[in-house]
Order: sequence, then structure tokens, then C-alpha cells
Amino acid sequence: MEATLQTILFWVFAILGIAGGIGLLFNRNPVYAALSLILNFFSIAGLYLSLQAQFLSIIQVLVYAGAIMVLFLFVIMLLNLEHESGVTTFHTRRALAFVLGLAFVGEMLYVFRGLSAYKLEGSFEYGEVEPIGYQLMTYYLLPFEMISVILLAALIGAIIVARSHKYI
Amino acid sequence: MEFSIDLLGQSTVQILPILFLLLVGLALMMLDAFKVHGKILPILTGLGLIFSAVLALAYGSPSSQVAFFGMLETGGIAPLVHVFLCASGLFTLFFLPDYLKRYHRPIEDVYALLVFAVIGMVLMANAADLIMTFIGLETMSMCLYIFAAMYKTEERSNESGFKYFLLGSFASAFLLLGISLIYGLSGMHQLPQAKVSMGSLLNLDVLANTLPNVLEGSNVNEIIFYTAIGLILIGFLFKVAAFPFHSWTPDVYEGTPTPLAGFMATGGKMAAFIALGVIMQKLNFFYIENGVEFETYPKIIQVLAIASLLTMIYGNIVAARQTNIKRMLAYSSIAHSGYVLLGFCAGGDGFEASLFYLFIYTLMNIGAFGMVGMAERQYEDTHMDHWKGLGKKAPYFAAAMSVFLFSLTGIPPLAGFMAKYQVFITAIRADLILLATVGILTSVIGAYYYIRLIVYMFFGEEQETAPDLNTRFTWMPATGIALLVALILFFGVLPSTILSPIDKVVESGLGIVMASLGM
Amino acid sequence: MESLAPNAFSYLAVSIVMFAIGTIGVMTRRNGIVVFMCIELMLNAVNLSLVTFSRMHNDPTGSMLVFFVMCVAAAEAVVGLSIIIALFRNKLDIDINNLNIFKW
Repeated sequence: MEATLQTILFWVFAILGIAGGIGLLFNRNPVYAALSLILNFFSIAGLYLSLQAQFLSIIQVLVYAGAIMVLFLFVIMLLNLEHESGVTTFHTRRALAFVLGLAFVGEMLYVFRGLSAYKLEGSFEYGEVEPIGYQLMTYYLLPFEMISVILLAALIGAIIVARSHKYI
Repeated sequence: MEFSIDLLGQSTVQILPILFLLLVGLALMMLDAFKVHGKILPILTGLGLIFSAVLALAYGSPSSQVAFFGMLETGGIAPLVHVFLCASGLFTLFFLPDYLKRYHRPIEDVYALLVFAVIGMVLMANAADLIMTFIGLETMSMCLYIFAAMYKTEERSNESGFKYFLLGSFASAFLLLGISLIYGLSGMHQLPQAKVSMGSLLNLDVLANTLPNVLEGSNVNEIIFYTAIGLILIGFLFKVAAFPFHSWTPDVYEGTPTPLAGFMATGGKMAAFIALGVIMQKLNFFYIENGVEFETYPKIIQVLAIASLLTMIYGNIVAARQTNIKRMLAYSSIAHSGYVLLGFCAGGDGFEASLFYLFIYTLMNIGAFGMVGMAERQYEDTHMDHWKGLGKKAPYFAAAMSVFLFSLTGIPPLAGFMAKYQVFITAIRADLILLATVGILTSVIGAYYYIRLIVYMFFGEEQETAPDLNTRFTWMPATGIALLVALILFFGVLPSTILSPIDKVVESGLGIVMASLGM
Repeated sequence: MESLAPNAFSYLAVSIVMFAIGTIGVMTRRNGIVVFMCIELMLNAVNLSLVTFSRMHNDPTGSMLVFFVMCVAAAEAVVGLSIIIALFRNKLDIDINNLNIFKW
């Protein structure tokens, strides 16, 4: 039963996620591109759920799909961007990018070919809030605290860079 | 390593120098918020950096010692690296306040950001765990992105910040994928059922034990490993501006406030290089058998050697064609990355030589960038023609600049020569004859463009447009220049004063790891 | 149903495809914000592979790194978008091919 549920969740969200990614790649309108990315982020949250990583799944929805993408949409609306115009000038570059991307996928799938033996059965002990909280407060305390420096630097930086020109 | 509260307290004491820097950063932020302006902020920052360096030296132990359950190295080379990085921030401070004031943009928040950037660099360079490397790298990069975009009313600065930001986060995505693959490999060495969580699997010492087990006899895993190292190298080579990933460097440095560009080119590069070097040493990329050093993964060293070769050639040739001094220094900083990489290809002794090179390079390059900043006529105008005849107008200025340029070239009595000599001699000892030869030949090209500027200054016709430099010699940059020149002369004559401590800490800090593995 | 059951390889394949889509997007799209969104997609793809490995090894390290990457991505979004706003104020355009002063 559990295995069936995992199978269904995986296929639904894998297809939705890749569809969201392709939507991001091909949508000329930045708003639609952002919405496709939100679809992709929700699907990744679903994939986390199928991997029994419940905490990360919820954080993914809250932080990525919720906070970060709202910020993106807000800026897109604020700047009132036009659609990207035609792409005629960069045909060769475009083709090159796709060839490189496909080569990358092929290469990495070849690299990972040995991993299909891992069936992902049994339960995952570190998916819930309690073990994750314990780990964060013990072994990963230093990175956890130092993340605050990044957030602080980003805060000061945003104030310096985006503050109105009046206040140099 | 099992968790215990005692260890936690002990670790907190071990990272005291970093905590002190954090405190300084927060204090600067609050002082700025309460409108305390003027010279007091840079002076406080400088004192904070000096005191933190002293703390690091006082608390550091010569043998390897980790804090926070294998997250951060606080012994071995860590205290010395901390001092180097603080020095890079400190020397930048001598040039920064006047520069910002001259453009009527006294952005005081920049001092807090400078301190946070130094914290990020220290975390990255002294990381004993790939998680910490990543977080330190991001802390540093975040501050550097902001430095690049700081002059928000200037289109150039916007563009350079935007470019640096996009390419930088693109590169860290690749680095992260590499770390992910390494993690995937590292966990394979025992069955999931038998596992008890005792800290991070991405700890470098843990990886040094697990990776050989996983790789042994497994072709599939070996391919994953090489892919992972390749991706990690992309991330690091981008940060140090080595050949295939260098293209952002001149544009970003050109758009960044000049003293901060010097900070980027020295501190940022040094942190990334040391992090890469520590990973290479701790994962035993080299092993010693009967007193002779061998490469564990020859393919990776070959890739590094090719990158080093192309970086040296490309950086020097393109730098020779520049007419803008800032772009010339940017391309020459690419070239210097090649020399440091050359040291990395030469094993354990090469790492020591590279560390020495990085420190000397920091001294001379911050000086050069700082003086270019002083001589700017208006925002970002650094064309070489304005430097003609400066030797008569401002003789002290021209003389000091010549010291930095001669040292960057590698002229004997100066520290730059000793640094280059050390790198080339270790390369020759490690049988990298071709690379060393190319290094020496490209140094000659380097001599052409550095000395051309000196010729411009002393033998060029005087220009009406040249700025009046004598009024810009206030006590702060003057002290900085005097200190840097003195240090360059001192380390040129007595290199062993810094070489032997480096030698000692690298031997005792990293040598033990090798001995314990019986290699 | 049995043959469709996902294993570690399936999840990694999804992750790699998403990463490649992000990479292609960075190389082909011209709108600065969309390029930035493609980078976010790449980071998410890596996160998926990390969680998969974490699940495969039944080990917390990967999950922890995902947590940290999310924090970093949030901070990066703030800095990136503020730079984009500053650029837009001066140029009224964020097309990366129109960065005139420097060659891209």
C-alpha cells in the first residue's frame, strides 16, 4: 500500500515538476514563467513527501513557493516588464545550449546508472521535525548560527543597493 | 564524534576570534544606525580585525583541532589563515574611507559588510566540512555581490553587480551539485541499517576514510567521484577566476569601487584557494611513499595543471593588451591565479608555496589597487594616459607604486620574487618542468605590462589631466602604503619569517592526517 | 505497478533533468529575472538530489544541507532582486543582452 502510494506520488509530481520547469523555459511572459516555477516548487515539495521528508516538504512550500516566489512576482509586477521579444538573433546559441543541456543529462544519467539498485524501502528516520531539530541544535549548530550572518549581510545589502537614490 | 555539552562549550571558546569579529560587525551596524559617522568607523573596524587576528594567534594550537563536532578547523593552519584574511581586510581599510568620501558616497554600512565578508572567508578557508565551506562561500559572495553593485546610481556598477551575481550563483549551483554527489558516495560505505548518526558525512576527515572504501574496485562509483570533483572544481575555479571561468573578472573589478576590487581580488581569492587546497590535502590527493610524493588521482591533477597553464598564458597575454589600469590589474590577477594553481599541482610543498604566494600577492595587489583608486580622476577613470609624468608631479606616489609593480613582476629584492621563486622551485622539484617553464616565460610578458606603467610614470610627458595626488596623501592611505612597502621589502629580504611558520603549521596540521592513514 | 516503483535512480533522473532545464534557461533566456529564476530551479534540483541521497543512506546530513541551501537561496533572492531593481532604475531594462558597457 505504502509502496503504491509512493509510486503514484512520484510519477504525478515528477511529471508536474518537469512540466513546470519546461514552462519556465519557454514562457515569454515573466509572470507565467514565475507561475510555472511555483508549480515546479510545489511538485518538488510533493516529491519530498514521497521520500518521507515531511519537514522539508512543508518548508519548501512555505519558503520557496510562499516567500521567495511571492517576492519574485512582486518585483516582476513592480517593474512592469514586457514580454521578451523575438529570439531570432540567437539561434545558434540557443541550439548550442540545448545540445549541451541534453549532453549533460545523458552524461549524468550514465554516471548514476548504478544507483537503480537502491530501492528506497524502509522508513526514513530524519524526516520529521524532532530529529531535524535535534541535529540542528547539536551537530549542525555552527552552520545554523552562521546562516544568520548571511541573512544579515543580505539585509544590509538590500538596504544599500535598493534604497531610493535620495539617500545615497 | 559524540555530542556533549562540554564539547559545545569548548568549541565556543575555540571560535572566539570569529565571534569577536561578529560582535564588531554588529557593533558597526548599530553605530551606523545611530548616525555615528566619520573616521571612527574604519578605525574601529581596523582595531577589531587586528584584535581578532591576535586572538586567533593566541588561541590557536599548532596541531589540528576541530570545533563544533568537525565543522571548523581551529588549529593547524587555521590561525595563520585567519591572520592573512584579517590582514587583507585591514589593508583595504587604509584606502577605503578617502575613496568613498571623494565620490561623495560615504556608505558607512560598508564597514559592517567588510567584517561579514572576512567572517565568510575565514569560515570558508578554515572549514573542516563541505557544509561549512558552502556556507562560508555564500556569506563571502553575498557581501562581494553587494560591493560590486554598491554605486547604485552608476550604470557600470549596477551591471557589474548583476553580472557577478548571476554568474556567481550559477557557479555555486554547480559546486552544490558536486557536494551532493560526494555526499551520495560517502554514505555508501555501510548499510543504511547499520548507521548511527554521529555528525556530518561531509566532514573532510570522514570523507578521507569513506571515499577510498567506496571507490575501491567500483568503476561506477569512480565515475561519480570524478564527476563530483569536476563540478566542485567548476565552482572553485570560478571563484578564483581561473581560465575557462574567468570572463567575469575584468568587468566586475572595473565596476567595483577600486579598493574593494582589491579586496575581492585578494581576500576572496585567497579564501577560495585555501579552501580548495585544504580539500585537496585532507582528501589525500597526494600520498608519500618512500619519501617521494605521488598523485592519488592523477586525472584531477592533470585537469588542474591544464587550467593553470592556460590561466597563466591567457591572463598575461590579454593583460599586456589593456590600456585601462584596472582591467590590466584584473587580467594580471587572473594570471596570478595560474601561478597559485601551479603550486597546487605540486603536492604538499606546493601548497605551502601557494599559501606564501597568496599572502605576498595580497600585500602587493591591495597596494596596487588602492593606489589606482587614489589616482582616479573621476569615477572609474583609470586610463593609462593619465599616469604619464606622475613621477615628477608626485614622486613619492610613483615610487611606492613602482615598488608594488616591481614586486608583482617578481624583481629580486622584493617579496614578489621570493613568492614566484618558491612556487617555481617546488614545481620543478615535482617534475612539472613544462608548467614551470611556461610560468617563467609568462612572467616575462608580465614584466612588459607592469614595467610599461612605470615607464609611463617616470618617462612619459606630463599630462594636464593628471590628478593632483599630493592633496590625496592623507595620513590613512599614506600609513597603509608605507606599511605595505615595508612589508614587501621585509618579506623579500627575510622570507623565512613567514615561510617557516607556514611550513610548520602545514606539516603539523595536515601531515598528521597523512601519517595516521599509514601513507 | 511493481516495475513502476521509483528507486534512487528515478529521483536522481528527475533532479538532473530539472538541473539541465535550469542550465539551458540560464544560457538561453534574456530577461534577467527569468535567468535568476532558472538558477533557483537549479538549486532546487540539487536539493532534490540531496534529499534522495539522504533518504537512500538514512542519514541527516543531506536534509540539513537542504535546509541551509533554502536559507541561502532566500538571502540570495533578496540581494539579487535588489540589484535588479537598482539596474532597472537606471536603465529601465533588465535584458541581459543589453548590458552595453561590458561585453557579456
